[in-house]
Amino acid sequence: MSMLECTALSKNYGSVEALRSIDLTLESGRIVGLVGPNGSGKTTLIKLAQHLLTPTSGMITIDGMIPGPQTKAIVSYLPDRDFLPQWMNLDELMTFYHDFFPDFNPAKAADMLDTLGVSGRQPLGKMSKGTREKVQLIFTMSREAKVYLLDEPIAGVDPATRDYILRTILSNYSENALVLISTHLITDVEPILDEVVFLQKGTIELHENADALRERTGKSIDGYFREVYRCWGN
Amino acid sequence: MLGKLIGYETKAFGRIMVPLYIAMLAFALFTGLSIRFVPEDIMQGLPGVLIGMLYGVLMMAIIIMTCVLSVTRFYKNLLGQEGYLMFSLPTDTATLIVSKVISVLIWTGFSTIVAFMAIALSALGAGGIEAFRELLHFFRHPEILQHLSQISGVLILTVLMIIAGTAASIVRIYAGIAIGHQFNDHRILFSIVALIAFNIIGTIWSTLLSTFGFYTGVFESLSRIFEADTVQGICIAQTGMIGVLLFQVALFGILTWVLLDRRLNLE
Repeated sequence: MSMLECTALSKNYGSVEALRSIDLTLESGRIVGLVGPNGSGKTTLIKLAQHLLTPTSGMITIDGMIPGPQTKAIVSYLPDRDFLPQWMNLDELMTFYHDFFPDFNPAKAADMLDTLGVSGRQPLGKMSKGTREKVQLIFTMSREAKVYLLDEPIAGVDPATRDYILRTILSNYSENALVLISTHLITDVEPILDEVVFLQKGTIELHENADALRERTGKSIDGYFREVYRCWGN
Repeated sequence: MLGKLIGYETKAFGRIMVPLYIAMLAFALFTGLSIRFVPEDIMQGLPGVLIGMLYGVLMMAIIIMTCVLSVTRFYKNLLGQEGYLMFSLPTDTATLIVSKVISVLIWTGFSTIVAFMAIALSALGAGGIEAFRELLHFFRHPEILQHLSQISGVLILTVLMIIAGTAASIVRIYAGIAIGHQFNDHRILFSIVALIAFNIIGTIWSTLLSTFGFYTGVFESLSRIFEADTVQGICIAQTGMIGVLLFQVALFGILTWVLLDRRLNLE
């Protein structure tokens, strides 16, 4: 079933074209890597899906609906920055998510926090950057959402945390959900991807099944893109 | 959802304002008791000056913090990094804006009540329970009660005018901030420029309205009513003023909504 659909979707910032008339259909039950170099339009596409931006032309739909309050109720979004109120502690955050997101599962969040040893009554602002990123991911993945939009979830974290984040994504998303992971670090996310969408200069260069791509090229996804586009830097 | 958002704003305001309120009320009582029990010659010296200064500083802190939080809660919570969370809540942009405005009105009300309570507590401390009895006695006087009942309409409309005026001011500031956020750099500067522009446009608009009122004879009719029945004249003028203020709330509210819903430009 089509969960995210873009039809001739374009977004301009002044004279700069961030997305150029893209057509894309993503099905539920898939983990999709949205990859591409910096400035290729990955974050713009995710923001359009979350109604943080409005299209210049074309259309984007989530579960058949134009982004708005109804789609936000089924989309769990992890931005690429500290987005949680820094003055809140974990208990207050738990209450906030429980109050505002009907699909939030507090037991799941408590379990993940416990597993990771994140506790205490200090506000988020007093936690280390790594711990804050884990907390953000835990709360995002603790929603029983239909769509997860994860913008650069592994950028800027240590390898151990990266492994934890990927395990968390794999073990906590609803099976019928769509997980869209934006990243420019292909190697780390490659093992969990079902599909890959490669963006460059605001256009879709490639959208293919991850296994089919590896089979067709005889290379890893990361290796293939390094060779073809020569624009990678880990 | 609106109620939940207001509740969340109440928490955010309360963690800063409530300690200030407690400090103000406690110090007001202390000031009153000092006036009553500390010998006059000491109170007229440095201790009295310090107590008076601290009283003033606390009162100013409440006023300033109410104003600062009214602006920063909108600026940081909606247009800063927290905006990524707030605009991801399953609600519409209008509800987010309305919750901010209502919260500001509530906390402005609380701050006003605390300011009056502080004055009352100092008076209670200084004059004892007798002072309060005298004050109550004054308000129970038949002539005062009769006078208050005659102007009750004016009093109610004054309160409504203050509420509408506060709402209009805050929504105008929000619209200015929303305009400033259309730019990628110097956002605060452009917000201030937008607010100055609003003031200039507002002055021109008031002048045009006054000219319209003068030439169409509205002012003359109003002044005739005022001469015949002063209270009725004031009520009509206040009702008109509330209408103008509500129009401003709607105008700036719609402008803020359009900019945040259709042209959001988060950090």
